Amino acid sequence: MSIISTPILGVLLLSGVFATWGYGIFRAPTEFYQGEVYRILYLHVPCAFSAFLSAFVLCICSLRVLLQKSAASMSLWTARACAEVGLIYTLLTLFTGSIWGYPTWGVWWTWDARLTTTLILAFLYGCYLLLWNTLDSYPLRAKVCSVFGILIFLDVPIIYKSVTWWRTLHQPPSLLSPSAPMSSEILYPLVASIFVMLGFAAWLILLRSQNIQTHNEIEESLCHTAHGGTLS
Amino acid sequence: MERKWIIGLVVIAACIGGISFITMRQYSVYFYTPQEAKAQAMELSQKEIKVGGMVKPGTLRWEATSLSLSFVLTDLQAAEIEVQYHGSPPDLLKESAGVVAQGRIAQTGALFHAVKLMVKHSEEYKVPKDQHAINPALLKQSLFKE
Repeated sequence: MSIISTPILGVLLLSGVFATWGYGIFRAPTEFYQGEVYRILYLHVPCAFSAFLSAFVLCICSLRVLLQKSAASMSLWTARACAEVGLIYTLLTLFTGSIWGYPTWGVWWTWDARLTTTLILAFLYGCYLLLWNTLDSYPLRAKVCSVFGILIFLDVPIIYKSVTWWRTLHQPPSLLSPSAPMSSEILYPLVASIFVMLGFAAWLILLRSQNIQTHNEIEESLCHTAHGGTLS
Repeated sequence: MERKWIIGLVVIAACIGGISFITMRQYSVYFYTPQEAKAQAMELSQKEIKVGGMVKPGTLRWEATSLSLSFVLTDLQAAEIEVQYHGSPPDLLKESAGVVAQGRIAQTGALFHAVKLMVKHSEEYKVPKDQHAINPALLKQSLFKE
């Protein structure tokens, strides 16, 4: 087992995540318009980016599964791990957004394009897991889930661009905006919190895919023994 | 068997895509601009709509005893609508703030009875030493995408 999949790296990354939250809550300056409530930014935005990362890795793994023919592979396990991690991060994004929305916008939820497309992403991840658990046989599951996995990623650019394509309550992106709408005291910790959270999400995906692989190996060996070595 | 699955999935995806495209065209307007709302006031007065704009500085009136709130909603150009609301407003509803108001517009287009007020802020996050007031140009861009 390599250093990457050991708990040490996970603990390090998680402490990094907590450190960025700590900085966001206790050290980052007050914002001129929203006041203190904006501090949830350091949780909300990294979660959203991690949900996007999961969709991206899911898409890459799905493509690899479709191209490589061999049905049961690490790419397939990683794809499933991405769907699980992505679902959790998407739900976290929706919950933190909702908690942030009430004190700033005045509503917990509204059906604008950004919120709706993000909810769709959560449903898509859920559907992926549902499909996976419904389809038992390997070649079929691998194909159907991989095609669906690629479709999921198509929602990500729509979510990202929704706030520039349509009129929404959610504001357009602050990062990478040419008008530099963020003070550097707010921006730099945000960038750090995003990278740390992305690292932690990647570690979760890796750990979970190895976990699924092991689970599958045990299941297969049990199956093998039960059928006197004829089924593999 | 596998082909059936793939054909089925493609058909389902195409249906979802088609239906969403048709409905999105109908509902993709999350709110009207004050100008649009005024121009189509006669027709829009028949239903509950959302109008987005900014609170015109100096027009925000709030009476805490009667819970009545009124302000002029503007697009910072020509169109202005007087908005009336009963209830407690969101905390961040201030002068110059972005607002999306849900309610009914009068047939004349001059008055809007809001049942729900939502504050829309722009993408700027500034510390007080950099900035003290809302940047109206950025907020306008953030609201109307123009």
